[in-house]
Amino acid sequence: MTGRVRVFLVDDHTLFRAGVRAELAESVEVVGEAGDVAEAIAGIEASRPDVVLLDVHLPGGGGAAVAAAVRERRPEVRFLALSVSDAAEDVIAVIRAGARGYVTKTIDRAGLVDAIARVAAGDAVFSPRLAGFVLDAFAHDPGEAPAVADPELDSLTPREQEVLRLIARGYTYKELARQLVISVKTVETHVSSVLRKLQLSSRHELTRWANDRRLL
Amino acid sequence: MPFSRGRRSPGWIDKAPGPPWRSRDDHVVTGLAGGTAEWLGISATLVRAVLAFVLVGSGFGVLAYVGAAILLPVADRSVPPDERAVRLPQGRDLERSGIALLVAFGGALLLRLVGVWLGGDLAWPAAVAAAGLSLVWGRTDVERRELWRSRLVRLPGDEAPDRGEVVRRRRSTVARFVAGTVLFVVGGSWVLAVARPETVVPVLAATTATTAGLALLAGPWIAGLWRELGEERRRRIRDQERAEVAAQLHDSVLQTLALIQRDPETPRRVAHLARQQERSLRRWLFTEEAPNPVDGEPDLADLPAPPTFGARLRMAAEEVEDATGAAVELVLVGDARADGRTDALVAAAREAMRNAAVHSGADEVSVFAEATSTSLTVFVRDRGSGFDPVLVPADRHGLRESVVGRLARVGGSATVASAPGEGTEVSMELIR
Repeated sequence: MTGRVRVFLVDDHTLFRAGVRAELAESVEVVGEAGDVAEAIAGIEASRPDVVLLDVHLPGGGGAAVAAAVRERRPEVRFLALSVSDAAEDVIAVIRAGARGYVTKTIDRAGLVDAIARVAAGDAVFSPRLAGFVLDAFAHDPGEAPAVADPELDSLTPREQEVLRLIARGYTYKELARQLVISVKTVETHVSSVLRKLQLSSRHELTRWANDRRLL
Repeated sequence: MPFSRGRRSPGWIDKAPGPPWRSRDDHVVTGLAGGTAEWLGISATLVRAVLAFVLVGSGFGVLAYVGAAILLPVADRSVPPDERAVRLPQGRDLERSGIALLVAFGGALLLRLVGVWLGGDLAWPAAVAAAGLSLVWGRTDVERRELWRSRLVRLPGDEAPDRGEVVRRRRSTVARFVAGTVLFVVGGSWVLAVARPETVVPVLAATTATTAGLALLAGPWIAGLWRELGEERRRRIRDQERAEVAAQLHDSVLQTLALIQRDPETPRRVAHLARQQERSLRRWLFTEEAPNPVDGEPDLADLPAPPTFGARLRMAAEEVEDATGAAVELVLVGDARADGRTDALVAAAREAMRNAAVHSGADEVSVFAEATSTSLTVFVRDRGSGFDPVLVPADRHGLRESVVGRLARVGGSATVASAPGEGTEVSMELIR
């Protein structure tokens, strides 16, 4: 990648945007910011960023609406979800709408810069929490016959589960690669594959699980 | 509820999907003709002319007009459909329904006066049958149609349908359908029983007419009542939610802010309070548990023990946070009912977390717990100083006894992986 990564901030809290902007100023180029869905869609269209830092909760439809709308027209724009949300269905919704990763707002500066670089390079970024959500969503309920439409998309391989468990345990990709004796590139491949399954799976469990959570 | 979605082109002014409406701006009496003209995209004068002809030509035309005027919502055409809220008939419209009933009764008496009365023995069964038919026929109101639509295709911005609401609506529809069918069958057989062959045609005509009349008259009145009930319930829920949020903000957030202002010179205390408040708010927002009372130090020991392994582990993590000031990030997959063995695992995990928070020098401890049908596993990891497991320093004896030993007594196992400068990870497993 030549030059600095162009980043667009979407968050309804002005204070938070200002904070992130100041934090990122020396590492990336912040090309714009927005506080709601419509503003974000227009702003992204106008400024053509590499990466959009996307808040999960936004007035006017949430981060998922922004990702879904932009992805149709500008598939090259990549999204990194950034949220304080503990609600799994919100996070999964944004990922399913096309975000390539999810980190919590408590992430430190270096971690955020690293996550942005990864997303810009086309990789997926899973925080421990997201890894936990995904494991939970794909967890098999032995009491229930699996209504699996596409076996390849609808379940995780043992290796992918292993990778996710290590991420959930707080391992970085590098530490994880060493632990499993594979390359960082292979770790990234596994994580991207999990992301793809998460986005494309029509897995009954996944939707049912999200729906159940929504009712809480 | 908007009439249509995603139609921002000027086309909306000519024609819009959904039922017709009464015009707010273009009206002579009720705006019905104006609204219908807008709906059809033709001249209002033409509609009025046809309407006048129908009204003069038939008594039921008048009833139909009054009925439609009650049934159809008033729409403000000066805003695009996406932002247009349908004004639902209520209050004044109920009065109007009453008036309409009186008008219908008067109309019936008038008809009798001029000799178009069908005779008491036929009118009553016909009325019963008609009432039944009108119940079945009903009126698919905008809201219900919208509900069905949202169940079939989910548009962005749709709220998740409330399952209870859907069930209630379905029940009311079924009940209405059954009651209507029963009435219709009873009334119909009654009519056939008393009818002589030469009166069948007028009876059929009367039935149809009465049906139309009743559908127009009773339908909107019931629909109006139903809507008012729904509106009332929505308002109550909204008020309740607002009160709850206000109470939560007052009890915890404002108090925490006050505490922070009183003691701003101690960053550690401020961070501690903020973290504690965040946790409490999170629990309130994302789970259904009661928030911690914030009065300086929450007394976690006083709370009753939650019933699951996961909840107890979370509590242990919070205790460690409160006691040490380190941030404990807990990721939990699955859950299990708590018992003596899981409590031993929680106690071991608490000790591992405390150890990491106190001795590693790291300000964050990652905890991952997974409950499957066959085992419970907990990993406690820090990125602190670490140590050489071969040269266990004296202060790590606690780890050996309180983690490894404690788990061994309930049939579990624990391993400690660490190296100087690379942090420590304690892995604990309990086979179920």
